[in-house]
Amino acid sequence: MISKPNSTVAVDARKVTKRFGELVALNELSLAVDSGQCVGLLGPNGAGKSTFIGCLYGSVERSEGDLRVFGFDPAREARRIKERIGVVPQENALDEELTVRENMRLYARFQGVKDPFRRIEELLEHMSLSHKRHAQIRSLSGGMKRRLTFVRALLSDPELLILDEPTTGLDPTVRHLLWDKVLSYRQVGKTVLVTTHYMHEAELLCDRVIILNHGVQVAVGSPKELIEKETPGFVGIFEADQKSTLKIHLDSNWHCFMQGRQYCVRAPQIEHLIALQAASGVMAIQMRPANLEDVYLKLTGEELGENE
Amino acid sequence: MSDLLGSVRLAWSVVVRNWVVYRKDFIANISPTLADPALMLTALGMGLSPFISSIHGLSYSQYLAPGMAATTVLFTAFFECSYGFYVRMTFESVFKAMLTTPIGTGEVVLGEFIWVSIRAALMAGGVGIVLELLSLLPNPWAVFLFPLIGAMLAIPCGAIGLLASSYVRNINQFQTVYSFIIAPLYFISGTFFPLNDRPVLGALVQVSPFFHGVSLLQMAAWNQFSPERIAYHLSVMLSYALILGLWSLARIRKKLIN
Ligand SMILES: Nc1ncnc2c1ncn2[C@@H]1O[C@H](COP(=O)(O)OP(=O)(O)O)[C@@H](O)[C@H]1O
Ligand SMILES: [Mg+2]
Repeated sequence: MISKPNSTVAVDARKVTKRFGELVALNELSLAVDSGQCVGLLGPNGAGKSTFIGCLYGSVERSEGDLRVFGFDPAREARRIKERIGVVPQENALDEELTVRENMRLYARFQGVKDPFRRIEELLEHMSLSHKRHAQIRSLSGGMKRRLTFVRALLSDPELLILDEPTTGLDPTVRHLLWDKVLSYRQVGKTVLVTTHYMHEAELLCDRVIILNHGVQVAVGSPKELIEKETPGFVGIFEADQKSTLKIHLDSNWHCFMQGRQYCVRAPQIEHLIALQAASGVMAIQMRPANLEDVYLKLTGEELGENE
Repeated sequence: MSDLLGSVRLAWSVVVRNWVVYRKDFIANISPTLADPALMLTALGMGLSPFISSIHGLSYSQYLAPGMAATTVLFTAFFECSYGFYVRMTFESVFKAMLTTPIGTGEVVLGEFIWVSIRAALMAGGVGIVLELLSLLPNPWAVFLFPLIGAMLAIPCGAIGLLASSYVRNINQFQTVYSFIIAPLYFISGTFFPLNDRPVLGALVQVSPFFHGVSLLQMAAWNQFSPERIAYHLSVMLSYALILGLWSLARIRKKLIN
């Protein structure tokens, strides 16, 4: 029954729970990733993103619940799954002692890649790393190491690409390059599961996002749907010390909140914000449509500090 | 069946990985395992021989000779599977990435065993050749038996290393494992002095997997074959290989899978 791979659903999780002793890292998480989709798993540090990803290929053993990847149970048939996925783990875990090519050749061997030489050259070229093929990995910059980790994940031309915080700590140039690669990977019909806490990244890449907090799913939907549902409208950002001046002009239906040292007002229409400026005489630092970050902060932001 | 073949192929790729890293620093890696038995043989064999008439009709150097092959097997396997494996597991996170590929924990552990067996076989063979050239092997054919026995003996010795890797809380604790487990196994093993005429030690040492390997190497070197003794030592050693091997697999699996 289960040995028959499911063609339309790449990942199917039903009430997956993972406990580390007392700590509940995943709490009855249910989600599905359809083939060809790019799904984002969002959430603050410690939300359980990496734990869930580990469950998918058997490096974390779930405590309860049902989980299938391509129809296989990772607790019992991890190899069947791992033959068809590519993983960019949160930590690169490259062999620092080896050269770029030595390392990739080993991984090509692990993954049973046919014609490894050509494949490696192709991917190094693709990630603009060809000139580094003989360099020791320890001599590479952080961005190069991350790109090389992408090369490693793509060696076997996987059906499902799993990215765990792929661009954390990278400069904008590398980040854009990697986004571009992920998008083109999607275009050829592959499935992507990506964790991130950059909302811009999620909006750019994902058809659907799942927001996690403390191992519990707090929202799911397309970025657009979530914005419509949770934080519709436009956000005006003001200096914090203008708060009292602005307050008297606000409509009671608008949403107001502090964000760092800035005072934010979310109103249904941009005209409302323009009118607010005129009435109060306070100019906004910025006015913009609500975005996924607003959703994320609304749903996960309250308890900042506890998560860290 | 094809699953099993696949496992062996994947375990072999773990061996290849270790070899690719090992050969980078070949001289530094191979020196201690060769230097230790050479020094031992010089200090004890040449140094003490004049004061010891003979043991069971052998010169003291001849008596020590097979133990030198056993020494290199023990240290090669134990250190590779303790410090070596531990560093790969904790500091280099080698397995974090490896386990995202079709390789599983079973293949990781099987690969380690194949790797130390091959290395131990080569080292035991190398030591054997040196001993042969020094005319310290009454049975010259022993050179061919040393690698075979070395490969088997490496499994229980390596398993002790893997078990240590799974139990220590930091790398310094291997020193304790060495002092309380490896050193006693080593010094009380028949390598340096015969045990069969000592009732207490002779009985106690039967629980040491290393002792049985040493005994097999000695029988080979001294040309003292008796089918019952071969069967006894071999079966005890292989039982240890199996039990300690499976135990270490279970422990390492727990370490690598959260
Ligand atoms: N091996 C482990 N042992 C104990 N606790 C763990 C382990 N791995 C993760 N955790 C805990 O589980 C929670 C979720 O962690 P993780 O999945 O890494 O979060 P994220 O990837 O979203 O930042 C955290 O509280 C973390 O401390
Ligand atoms: Mg994480």
